[in-house]
Amino acid sequence: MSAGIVAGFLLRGRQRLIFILEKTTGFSIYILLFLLGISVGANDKVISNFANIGFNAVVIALCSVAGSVLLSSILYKTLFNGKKN
Amino acid sequence: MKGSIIIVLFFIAGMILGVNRLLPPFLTGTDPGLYALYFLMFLVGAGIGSDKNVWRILADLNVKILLIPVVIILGTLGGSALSSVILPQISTADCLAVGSGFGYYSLSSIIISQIRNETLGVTALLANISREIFTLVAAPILVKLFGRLAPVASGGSTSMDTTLPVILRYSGREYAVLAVFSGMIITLLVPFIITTVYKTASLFN
Repeated sequence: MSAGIVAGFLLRGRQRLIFILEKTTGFSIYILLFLLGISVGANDKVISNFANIGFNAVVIALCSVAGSVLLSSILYKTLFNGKKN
Repeated sequence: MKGSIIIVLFFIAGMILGVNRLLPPFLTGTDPGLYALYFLMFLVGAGIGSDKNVWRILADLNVKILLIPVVIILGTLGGSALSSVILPQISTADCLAVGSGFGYYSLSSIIISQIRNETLGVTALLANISREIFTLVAAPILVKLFGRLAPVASGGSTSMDTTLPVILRYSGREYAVLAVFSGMIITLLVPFIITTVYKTASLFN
């Protein structure tokens, strides 16, 4: 990733190359999730536990959101309230 | 939103093929996924490096603004640590890693399924998609109850793109600017935070 940042920095301003880069990134994300889907589908442990995994996922998501929202509301009240920043 | 749907469709298509064992065995091993991940990390890095906005924002940093992503990261980690109390079958490190996706489900699920296993990768995928959907749906309530920064916090890494429209709508323009900044910082840090969680956890075992 650091190598990528350096490469990207050198490419600054070359709109055409950057456009291709963004397209490739999106495409490789599709491929990777496709591959993850394949190994998940071939994994009986995941398939038979899908409802359970979904439940765990929602609990973790709600807890993380709650934590970040509560802390951010403290920050909002102490530093940001009423000010346009 | 359209992008998210396409991503999920790719995942589901792969899953259907996998369930029905319709594939040559070389595709189901870990290696193609791992090399594809290295390649993706390079591309993500190149995207950040070539983005002029990132460098401009980093140039005129303001300590108060920097506090936003810091608070969101700390709150998320605290909340996910708490979720391991509710879900005793999942270790604290695993809960922290899933939470550290901050809504960036594509990258976090891939990294986590490489570091740990597919079960946790899917957990990360579903948890982080839930975070994004929750933010999209609950933004107006969040603003009312917890202030205008709340949807930015809830959005995590997605506040710079997919959840930005609802933030703009319910928190206002000046918070949309903060949302882009905070989302960028968090997106940048996702891979580092996930690997740091496991490195730190391995020190205690």
